[in-house]
Amino acid sequence: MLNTSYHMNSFLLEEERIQIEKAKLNPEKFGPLYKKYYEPIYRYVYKRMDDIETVNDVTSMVFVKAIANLNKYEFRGLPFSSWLFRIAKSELNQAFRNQKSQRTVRLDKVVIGQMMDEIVENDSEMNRSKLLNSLTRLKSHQLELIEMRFFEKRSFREIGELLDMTENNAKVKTFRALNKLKQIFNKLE
Amino acid sequence: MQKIKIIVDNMEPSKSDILSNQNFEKVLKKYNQLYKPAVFMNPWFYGIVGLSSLLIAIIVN
Repeated sequence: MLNTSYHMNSFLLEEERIQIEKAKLNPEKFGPLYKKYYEPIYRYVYKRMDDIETVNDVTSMVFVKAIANLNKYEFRGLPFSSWLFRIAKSELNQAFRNQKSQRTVRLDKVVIGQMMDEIVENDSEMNRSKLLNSLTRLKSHQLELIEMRFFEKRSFREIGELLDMTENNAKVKTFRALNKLKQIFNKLE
Repeated sequence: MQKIKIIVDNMEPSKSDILSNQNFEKVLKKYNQLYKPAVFMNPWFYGIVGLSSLLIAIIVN
């Protein structure tokens, strides 16, 4: 399932570009963009943090920083959300550095089941526990790729845009991260 | 290596829960606190002060 709100047609992109230009002149005009992107940014932050109060603070700061840096934003035909997600990533890292919250991965049982299909044939409680343990042993960039592709169901194109790499590179790196996860999983007793 | 916490969470917040946290006024207020330049940093401030001084100088002389 692709994130359809991310993949916009040229008419919607143009409409968004006009909203951005208005907001550059007057921050109060940022309101429609805030309303449009609040939920996806909130969910992105929520899935990576354990403390709800900090989730609210970080989400707000993403938009404060976006308004402050809007003049630096250049429209290059990509959805505005990819720029916002990059700010969100940077704010999350800042919060982890300041130890306001711990890096967290939130999963539901359905997603764990789907991930098990990628890793191993036997979906037992013990293997599920091994999978969760393996995830904590990945490097942060590998975990980010696994999260985006397998837990959040993002397309490789979107992952590439969010992580500033080509679609093909996103695909290659995601498969490498998945292989690494399998290796860690198989080494664990 | 960064310590990672795993939460098996079957109760993701609903759309309405998330949207109830929206507060654009608060975001604008925070932006104004952190980034809006003070009055004396605004070029208009120096323009107005300069013009006023000139007017006073003309009137006094």
